[in-house]
Amino acid sequence: MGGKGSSDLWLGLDMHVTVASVAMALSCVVVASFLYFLIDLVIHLIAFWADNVWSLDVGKWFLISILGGYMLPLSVFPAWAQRVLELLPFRVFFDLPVRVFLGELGPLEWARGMGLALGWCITFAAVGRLLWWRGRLQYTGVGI
Amino acid sequence: MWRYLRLYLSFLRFSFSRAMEFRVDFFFRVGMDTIWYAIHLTLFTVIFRHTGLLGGWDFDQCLIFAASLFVADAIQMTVFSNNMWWLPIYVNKGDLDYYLVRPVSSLFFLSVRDFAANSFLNLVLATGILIWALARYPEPFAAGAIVVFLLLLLAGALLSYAVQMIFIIPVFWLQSRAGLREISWSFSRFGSRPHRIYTGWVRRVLLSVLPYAFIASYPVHMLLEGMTGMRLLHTFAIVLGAMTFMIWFWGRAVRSYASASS
Repeated sequence: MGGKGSSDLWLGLDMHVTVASVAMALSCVVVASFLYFLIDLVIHLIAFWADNVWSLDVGKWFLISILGGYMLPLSVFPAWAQRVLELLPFRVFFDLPVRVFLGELGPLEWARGMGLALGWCITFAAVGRLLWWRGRLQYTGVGI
Repeated sequence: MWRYLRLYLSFLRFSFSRAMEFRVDFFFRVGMDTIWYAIHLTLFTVIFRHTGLLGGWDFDQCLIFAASLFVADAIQMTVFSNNMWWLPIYVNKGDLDYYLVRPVSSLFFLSVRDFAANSFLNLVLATGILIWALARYPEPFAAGAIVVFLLLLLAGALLSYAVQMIFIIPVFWLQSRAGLREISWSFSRFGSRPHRIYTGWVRRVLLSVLPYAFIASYPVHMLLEGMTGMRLLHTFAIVLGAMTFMIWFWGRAVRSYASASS
């Protein structure tokens, strides 16, 4: 991998890695980490109403693994499914950073994906705030 | 024998009544496993958009494999999984004493005490998917072959339990959070694909020392390509070997257990 330029063949793989693509991929990872935290927050706040949310947590990982591109590249899904998957919050976890890193997606697609991911961050933060507020109202402390 | 059967019926009654007390969690867990089934079916559906064969199997055959995996997994999840989750916690907290002094086998008591009622619902669903997958297969199966195949899936679930226990039992010496359970979970992913997609030493390992192929893939292989005496003997030897080793390993572990009160 070149320090500042592109490399067409690296470890036998055809890819176009540049400083910009690495920086864009890293920014995806940062936003993905934040989004993962916010999804986790929402799931765990459901514990105000449910006895155990472990299964929701596992279900979340199942969804991320198939709809985020961990089990399969999203490019192998049918075109209509890809259009839907692009709008869901899971793509930023694997598909977007990997494809940006490999140079398959340019700055425009990266910006669009990041915008959507940030939108999902805001949505989950709002839902989390609502659940926290409602949960505290109905929480019954032991010994208080 | 009757004592154990009566005890197990008591476990069942207790597990179902407890599941009904925590209804939200009950349905969350049913939903989680249903998502897992949907993901596997999606995975194979998407893969077969790009290829005609996977490990020598076509889509219909892979569907039988996926459904068989669901059934073997659901049996394991229903009967053993919750118990294996709690075992390392008992060991690390020194709570095992309570179970060791019972007048029944400690391994039996600790392995099947908690029957997962929610997973039982998934077992019904998984069985339905398997019936559907077998019924839509273009060539009919002989009734005898189906019976043996179902017995092989039961053996697969038992094998899955034995292998997981072998990875959990080291908690007696390691005092880690769950023994080597995470390693076992990582290896178990090999069992969720047809074993013939692997070649060379990986396939040999999956058919011997880490026998994840026998949970679902090898039983389906036998159903589709013939249940020869050699294949049945191979399966029997693997399951018996794993169970024998696990029971011996458990005995060694219990002997080295230092209780909270000792």
